Amino acid sequence: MDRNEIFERLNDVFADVFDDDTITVSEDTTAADIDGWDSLMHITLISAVEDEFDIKFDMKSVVAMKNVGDMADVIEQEA
Amino acid sequence: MNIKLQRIIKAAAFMLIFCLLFSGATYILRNKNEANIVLPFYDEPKNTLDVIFIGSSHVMCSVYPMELYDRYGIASYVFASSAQLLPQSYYQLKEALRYQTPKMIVLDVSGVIYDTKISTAEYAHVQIDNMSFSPVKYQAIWDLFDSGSRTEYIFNIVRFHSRWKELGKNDFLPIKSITKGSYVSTDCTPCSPNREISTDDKTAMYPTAEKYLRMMIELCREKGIEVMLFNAPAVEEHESLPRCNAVNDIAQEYSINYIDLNMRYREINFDPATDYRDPWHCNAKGALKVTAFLGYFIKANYSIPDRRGDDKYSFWDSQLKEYRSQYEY
Amino acid sequence: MVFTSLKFILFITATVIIYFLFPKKYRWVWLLLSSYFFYLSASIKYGVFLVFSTAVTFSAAVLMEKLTEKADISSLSKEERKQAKKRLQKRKKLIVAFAVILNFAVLFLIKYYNFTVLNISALAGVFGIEFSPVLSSLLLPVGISFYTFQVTGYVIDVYRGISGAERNFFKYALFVSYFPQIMQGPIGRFSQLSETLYYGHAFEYERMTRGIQRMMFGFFEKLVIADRLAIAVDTVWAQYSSYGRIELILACIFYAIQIYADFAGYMDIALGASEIMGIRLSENFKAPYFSASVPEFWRRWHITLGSWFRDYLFYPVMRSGWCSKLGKFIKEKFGKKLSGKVTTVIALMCVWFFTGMWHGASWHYIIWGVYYGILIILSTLLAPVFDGFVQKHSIDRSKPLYKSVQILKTFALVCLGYIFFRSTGMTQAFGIIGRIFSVSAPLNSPAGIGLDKADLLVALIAVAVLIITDIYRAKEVDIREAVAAKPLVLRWAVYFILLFSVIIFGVYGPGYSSSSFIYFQF
Repeated sequence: MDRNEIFERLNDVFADVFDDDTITVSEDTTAADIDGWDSLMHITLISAVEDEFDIKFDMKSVVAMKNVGDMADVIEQEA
Repeated sequence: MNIKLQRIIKAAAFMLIFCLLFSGATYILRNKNEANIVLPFYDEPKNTLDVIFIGSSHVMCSVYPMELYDRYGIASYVFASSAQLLPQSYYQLKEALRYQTPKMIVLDVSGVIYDTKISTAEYAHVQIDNMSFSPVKYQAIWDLFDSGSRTEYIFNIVRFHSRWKELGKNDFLPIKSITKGSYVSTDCTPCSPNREISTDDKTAMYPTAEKYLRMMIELCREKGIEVMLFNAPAVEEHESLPRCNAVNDIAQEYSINYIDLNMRYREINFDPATDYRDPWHCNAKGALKVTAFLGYFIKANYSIPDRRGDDKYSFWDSQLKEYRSQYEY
Repeated sequence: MVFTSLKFILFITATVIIYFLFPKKYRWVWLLLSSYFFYLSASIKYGVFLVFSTAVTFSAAVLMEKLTEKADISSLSKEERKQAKKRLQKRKKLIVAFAVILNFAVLFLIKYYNFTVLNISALAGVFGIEFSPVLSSLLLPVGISFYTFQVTGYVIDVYRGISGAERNFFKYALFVSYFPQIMQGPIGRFSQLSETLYYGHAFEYERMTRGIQRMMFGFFEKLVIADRLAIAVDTVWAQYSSYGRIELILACIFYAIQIYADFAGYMDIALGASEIMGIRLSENFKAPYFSASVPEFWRRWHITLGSWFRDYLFYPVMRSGWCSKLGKFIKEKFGKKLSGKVTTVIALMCVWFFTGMWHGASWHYIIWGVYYGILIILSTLLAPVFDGFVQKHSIDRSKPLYKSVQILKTFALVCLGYIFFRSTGMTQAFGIIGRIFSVSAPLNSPAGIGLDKADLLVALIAVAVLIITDIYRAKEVDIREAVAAKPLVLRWAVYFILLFSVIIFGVYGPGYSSSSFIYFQF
């Protein structure tokens, strides 16, 4: 899976979770950039991404991921 | 100019302005209790006072130096503060000797009935805050107070900063009295007659009081100054007459005079019904009797010069004139 | 040693000067020495608990890292590798659990033992079993709630692989005991703090002046605002039944300002003192009373505590096996929508119960925490309803009026919560709330609230200054830079006014009975 594909699929997940079709995420999108990305949504988002890619994030990734790029790194590694 | 030097100058200037503002604020905010009576002491020309009275409000209310000058030509000052105990008086004496070389010191011993170094923090502030900045002041603070409370005497703004809402005109313009340290009052509280006891009826002195009394006497001896011990009439404290009687032993030991007017009030025609301001203090009527007696006694027993007519002391005459115009009793 | 004492000012002056006299490489050693001096000057006995926590977590972290290093899996096949990894993970889990439990056991025994046994005995009494429990008389070591969270956060981070284990015991001891933060936080993360703490910072003039300015403002917040308002708050709270609704509401608002000025003031002193030495601590507040919602408030109030609960309690609970099992179970029976909500509610209640409990072993703290839990759950659950409402009435969310109403609403909810927080028990809390909302209670009362007009005026002006600085903080503009850009005379005037308002209008000295920081008791 190449990185572009990951981001395309991530876009769909984000749009679905945040209920906003206009969202496009990039390498350095952070929680501050997306309205409503708080700790509650973070967990929902993580689960949705896990379901989409059929992977499991460990706690380090859940807590320490700083931006969507970090998330994509983990997906790349695990999938 | 290099940046380092510039910064050092700036920091120094900042500190200097801070210190100026800080000492200004300290003066304005502090409680001015008795400042008008005590501070003029520092305006007396150096080495002109012949007799200095050291002690508490008892001596402040019962001795009028202006009368001593008028009647006997004695140049004196009452360097005292309210509820000043003997340990405090020791430092008050040392402070007085920084400015004057008196021939005689009269020590008010009414504080012998207390075992502590100070009575209350409020009263201690009255004494310490009216002292000039000197090593003596810091010795006094070090000795009289425990480590937890020294700060408020070194920086009295710690205690008095909350006075910002009660500041009045007096806090900005220093008002000085010309009573030479005495508190003149014409109020009267009729009191019951003084208690009569025999001089043999005595209780041992408290160690603290005794220690500082001896230190004062010895300090004067060292400097060749005559010492006399004195206790003013105070009907309220008669329960402690036996404790005051113990002072007689000390006086005998050092061959100095001790006059307790609580024991000898009849000799001076002191009338408890008319001569008390309150049960602790004389009013003007009583003070005149006490002062007259003291003047007479000092003149008769010590060689204190008559300064009337002395050119060097002509300022006393003008001060006396002003005093007479201000006070009537 | 209280921050607002002459002793502390002397201590910090000496510490800073000696810090810069030390060789750069060993400056952290000086920090460790002065931190232990600072901590032990409160009580030598407390030191035992501190050293214990330090030693346990230090060893646990090193042990976990050594196990990882020793596990040589390169020669193994893929399947074997997976097995080895699992085994390693299991052993690490055992170690981290042991360290965390041990630390919390100490905290529990000291802080919550009496509360627990008293409640158990009361509960037993209901069932007719009478027993008088043995109570502990241990004193709460200062800062234990804060440093226990910091050290457990550290071992969990090492377990998760977020930060490496510190191999130098003394360096680690500094991380735990660093004096500006040991009493009341901010609760530091090793990955953020280690670098700035161990590095030998050079002296910088600008940094020093900025640090001093921040400390001065902290003193201003604490001494001029918090301690002044405390007089009114204490008066009204002690005699609440003799006051009317206006005084009670005023007291709640005063308390909200007091606790903020108190805690944020402490932070400004701690962060300012650190800044002088070049050390950066985490910010703990971001103008919290400008928050438009309760969840936002908690992202801007006591930030380091909130993020601790998020990372070490909320996430683990949400991601735990039993939580996902429960989620799956509900999903199968009642559908997807409900499943997410149920697990969230459970996790949030867990977080807020413990947040309340962290503040003190007493029901009124727990109720206060649970109150926030309910508010946050409601705001999550009702968000769609509210969004619908806003859309239906075409309310413009970007209008200042809308935002102001939101801010006021949040502040009011927070104030209501403080009634539980400030009260000494549930009777008092409900007594005050009852009076505020009762029609029969008088509007106001002739009894004074302990502050005269002059004091109230000073408080009002000081709070206005606080609000202005908070507007800057909310915009993330450094007010100190704004002041520094002004001409010298104006700049110095600001500094001197600040300095002397602390000296003159501060509530300290024998004229006032001395007070400690509110967060000291937690």
